[in-house]
Formats: sequence, structure tokens, C-alpha cells
Amino acid sequence: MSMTIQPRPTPEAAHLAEQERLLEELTDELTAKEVEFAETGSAFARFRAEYQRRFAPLYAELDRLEAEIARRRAEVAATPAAHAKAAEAAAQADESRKALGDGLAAGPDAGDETRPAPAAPELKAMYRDAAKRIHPDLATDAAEKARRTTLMAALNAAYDAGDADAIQRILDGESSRPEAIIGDDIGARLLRVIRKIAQVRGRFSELLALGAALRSDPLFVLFETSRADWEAGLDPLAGDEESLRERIASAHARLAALIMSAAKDPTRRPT
Amino acid sequence: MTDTGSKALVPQGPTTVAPVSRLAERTLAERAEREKEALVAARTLLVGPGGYATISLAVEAARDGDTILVRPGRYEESVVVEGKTITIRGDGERDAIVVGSDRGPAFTLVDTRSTLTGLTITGGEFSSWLELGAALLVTGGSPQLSGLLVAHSGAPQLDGMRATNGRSVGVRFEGGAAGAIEHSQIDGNDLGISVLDGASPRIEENEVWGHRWSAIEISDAGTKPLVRANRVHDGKGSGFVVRAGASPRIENNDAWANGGYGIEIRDAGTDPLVRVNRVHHGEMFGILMGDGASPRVEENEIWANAMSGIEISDAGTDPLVRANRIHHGEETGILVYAGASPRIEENDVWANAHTGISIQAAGTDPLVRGNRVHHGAMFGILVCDGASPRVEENEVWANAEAGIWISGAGASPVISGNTVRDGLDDGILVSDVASPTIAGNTITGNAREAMRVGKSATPMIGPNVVSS
Repeated sequence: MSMTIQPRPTPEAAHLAEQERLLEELTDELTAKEVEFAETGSAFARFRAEYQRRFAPLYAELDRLEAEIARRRAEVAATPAAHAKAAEAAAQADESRKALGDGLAAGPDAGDETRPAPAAPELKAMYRDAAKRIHPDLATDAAEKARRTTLMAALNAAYDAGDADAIQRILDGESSRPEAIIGDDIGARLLRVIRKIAQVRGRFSELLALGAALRSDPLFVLFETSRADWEAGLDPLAGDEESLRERIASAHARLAALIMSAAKDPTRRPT
Repeated sequence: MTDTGSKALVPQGPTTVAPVSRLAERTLAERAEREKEALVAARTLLVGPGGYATISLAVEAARDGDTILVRPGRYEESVVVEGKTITIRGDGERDAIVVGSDRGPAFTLVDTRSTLTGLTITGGEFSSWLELGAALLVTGGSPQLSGLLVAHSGAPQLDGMRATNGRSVGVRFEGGAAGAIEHSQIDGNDLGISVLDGASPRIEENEVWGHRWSAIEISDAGTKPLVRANRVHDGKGSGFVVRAGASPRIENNDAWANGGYGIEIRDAGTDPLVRVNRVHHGEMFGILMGDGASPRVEENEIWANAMSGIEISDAGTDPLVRANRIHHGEETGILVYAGASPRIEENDVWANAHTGISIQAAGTDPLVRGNRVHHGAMFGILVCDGASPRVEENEVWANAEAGIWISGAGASPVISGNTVRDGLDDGILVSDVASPTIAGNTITGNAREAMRVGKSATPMIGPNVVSS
């Protein structure tokens, strides 16, 4: 029997092992955060599409009616205040028409498939595995980072599309790729690990900043307040939609009354 | 940030406010305005003398935002709240307001954000042994449940409704339900709280006790409740059961005097976070992990259980067991066997009636590192029956038998960097035909030999610091 003795690790080796362990833990946490972000991003995109599909036409219709009402009132009253109000209403109508344009620009399919489709746990696990393996922030040189960046984009697209096969292909490609290690002494490895830790920490700060930026978007705030119900299959926007429809109906009635009274009083009819 | 690839990973904040975001701003403001108006317009409906005869009639009449006040009395009905957002509140002593049904749930909440508070809820048993009933059933939605007593038996005022054959859950969350149950007492049901099928409610500060099976059971992939600061005790089965791929967060709970395990975690894909709980005086193991589960178990205090403090078994069971305090148990502190390969790190294990950390059977290859194992009534660390762990950098002292004992054919663990001191027996004992690698250890001040090697053992012994 060969007697191989394992001596106590040198302080450098012990330090390297510690750092590797720290990196592994940080990478796990980062991957979990990335998955959470990817899920939030994909759910928010669906929510945004649904909100736009349902609400942009309603606001556009409401503001068009209110602008028309204000215009007719200004013609009748002809006061500066009435004209100012009409101009304001017209501007508002223009703006909400722009939101309608946003929806058209997003393509004819925007708004389809808007219900949240939570990813299957298996898909999520595959995504997590793959993200952990190819995350660009774990690359140690620019070329590798570029390669991983491309892969990561493909991975996100596959995850969004729920395409398990595509994720598997990415995973397979990675596992058959020989690890490119340059320099295998403890010093070189330690340097690499420390750089990776710094990159992972940097990415954490980026994610934090992106989260803060998102929260400054009112649509995201609306999404966050609605998310739990929306993903539970409820319709958290139903009350908002109903209220808008009531206001549109009321605006229709007021406009009809204005037109009617103008017709009854030919002396006040605008020329 | 400059790196476009990483950008693709996350939702992007807008640089300028998009028109659709301005619409959202209006929606939020209008919603706040409506909520203010609704508050003014909300009505209160009474159930009981002078009001509706049943809760179901009041629920039928209620609109979003209304409050139903339930006067003391016994309401034998099955109330269904679907879609509406209302508050149902007991108006009087909770124990005197009893809602129950001898067939089906007392309350079924479907896709609702309603609030339920200040009631005693019972019944829910089904006549069939095959079906599991629920006194309070939550399907989808996110209701808020608080200050409830959900009791199937044991509460004297419920005697008339006690079933002898039925099986019932106190509260069941299913169908992706969110919401919360808090500050409630769940007592004497077959199963206290069951969370399954992707439900992820918050379960906080409840007292759950006296159940015939487990107190809180969480199962299925995608089921991710937060279970915090509950008191779970005196049941016949386990305190917590987590299985079938569930991923709850279980923290800061007290589990004691349960007939089964304090916390039971099973099945591949089951990966809860179990931290800062106190598990004690149970009739079996404190925490059991098996059948391929891979939880993270950290910073728990586990003491005075009738069997091992922590037991980890089966191939594929690879948890991280870190920084727990395991002491005064009636058997082993941590027992690992049958092919499990956990990471056992930085735990304090002391004053247990058997071995501190015991690793048994071929294929059982954990990493045991940085633990402090002391004042046990038997061995500090035992490796036997072909197990091959890495035992590194542990501090083992003042145990009644050998600090580290390696025994049995096929056992080829690596024992390195440990300090084994001040034991009442040998420091390291290698017996039978074991062939460990033992290097870099400090073995000092033990009552018998620093290292004793049996005749048929074939250890590989490197440099160790040894003194008697």
C-alpha cells in the first residue's frame, strides 16, 4: 500500500481554500439574486404589456372625450380660464395618445400572453445552474467575459421563452469546454479568486442600483403593489379598469348633453 | 454600468419617464383617491342577534371594503368567501364566537384578500378516511388571518362537534395562496397547518400544539412560506415536516416536546433554510434530514432530545449544517450515515449522552470541519463501518472516551489539523482494520495514550504534534 501523507496545508493554501469557499458562497447568493431579478424582469415585462393593452386605450379615450368637452365649453364660455383648460385637456389627450403609440411600437403581439407564467421549478434550477457556470462577472479576462456575456444573453432569452432544451444546450456546451487555466500555482489561483470575489461584489452593487432605478418608475411601483395578487391569478387592476370605464361613460354622457344643448340653442352654436 | 451582457440579465429602469409610466402614476393616484372614498363608504354588517342570522348571508350582502362583525354565538355553517375583499371580525370574546361545520371547512377563502380575525374555527372533518378535511381552507389569493383559534378538539366548548373518525387539518393553504396567518392558536387538530401546491403564506407568531400528526407540514416544489417565531409543541408527530421539494424559510421558531422529530426534512429538491430555531425535549431526533434533501441548517439550538440532536441519512442528502449548538441530548449529537455527505461546520456539540459526532457506513463522506466537540459521555468523533469523511480543524476535548475513534474495514477518513486534548481516555484510537490518514493534528493532555493503533489497523500517520 502506498503511504501518501497529507501534510497540513500551508498558510497560503489555507487562505486560498477560505477564499474559494467565500467565492462559492457569494456566487450562490449572486445566482439566487440574478434569478430573482430575471424573474422580476420577465414578470414586469408581462405586467407592463398587460397594463398597456388594457389601460392605454382607456386613458386615450377618456382624455379625448375630456378634451372635446373642454373645447366645446371654451367655445361657449370663451373665457381665458376656459381656453386654458381646453388647451390643458388637449395636451393631456396628446400625451395619452403617445402611450397608445408605445403599445403599437412594441409590436402586434404585445399584450398577448400577458398572464404571469411562473417558470417551472426544473427550468428555474437549470437556469440557476447555467447562470452560475457562465456568469460574466466570474470571467477573469476580457475575452472570456465577452464570450460569457453573449452566452448569458442567450440563456436569458431561453429562460424567458421557457425553452429547457436551449438551456440544456448551453449547459452541455459549457461542460464540454476545457477549463482555460493560466498559471496553477497557489499565488495565481489566489489572485484569480480575489479578483472574482471583487467582481461578484461589484455585481451585487450594480443589482442594488438597478433595483433602486426600477423603483423610481411608477409603473414598477404599481407592479409591485399588484404582483402577489396578479401571480396568484387575481386581477388587481380590475377595480382601476372598472373605475376608468365608469368615467368614460360619464364623459360620453356629458359630451352628449353639451352637443344636445348646443343644438337646442342655435344662438350659442359655434360657427 | 458599462457591460451590456450583464444588463440583459435584469429589468432596466427607465432613463426618461415613458408615457405608459405616466399613466401608471395616474392609476396609482386614482386608486389612492378611490380607497379614501371607499373607506368613507364602507359599511359594517352585523351577524347575530339583531343582524344577519348567518355569516354566509352577511358575506353574500357584503361589498369590497365592508366589515362583518360576528356577535358571540355558535354558527354551524360552511362560509365561502370568493373574490371579495372584506373583513370578518369576531365582536366579543373569541372563545364565545365559534364557527364550525361537521361537513367540510368552516371557512373556504378563494382568491380573496379578505381579513379574518377574532374567531374560533372548528370542524372541517370529512367522513372518509381517504380525504383530508380542513377547518379553514385557503385556495389562492392572499388573505390575512390573525387572532384566530383553530381547534378541532381539546377546547371544551367544541365537545359537541368533536369527530372521532375524521381527519382534519386546522388551516390549509393551497393553489399558490399567499397572505398570512399570525398571532393565532392552532390546537388539537390532526395536522395543524398544511402548506402545499405552491402556496407561500407568512406563518408568524402562532402557537401550534397538541396535534395527532405533525404541527406544520410544508410540501411541493414552489411552496415557499416564511415560517417565523411560532411555538410548536406537545404534538404526537413531528413539529415541522418539509418535503417533496418545498423551500420554506423556517426561522426563530420554538419546537419542543413533540412525539416525532422537532424538524423533519425529506426528499430530493427540498431545500429549506432552517435557522435560529430552538428544538428541545422531543421524543425523537431534534432535526432529521434524509431521502436526498439538501437544506441549510444553521445557528439552531438543539438540546435535551431523546434521540440524536441532528440525524442525516441517505445518498444525495447533502445539507450544510453550520454553527448549531447541540447539547445535553440523550443520544448522539450529530449522526451521519447511509451515504449522506453533508458539510458539518463550526457547530458546538457538547454534553451529549452518546458520541458527539458519529459518521457511519460506506459512502458516507461528509466534511466535518471547525466544530467544537466536548464533554460528551462517549467518543468525541466516531468514524466507523467504512465511512470516509474529511475531519479537519475540529477542537475535541474532555470527552469520556477517545477523542476521535476510527473503526471498521474500509474506513479511510482523513483526520487532519484537529486539536484533541484533555480527554478522559485515548486521544485518537484506530481499531479493527481501519486505514485513516492522520496528519497535522495536535494531541495533548489526554488521560491515556495520545494515539493508539490496533494490531490489524493500517493507518497512514504523518507528522502530528503529540504530548501526553
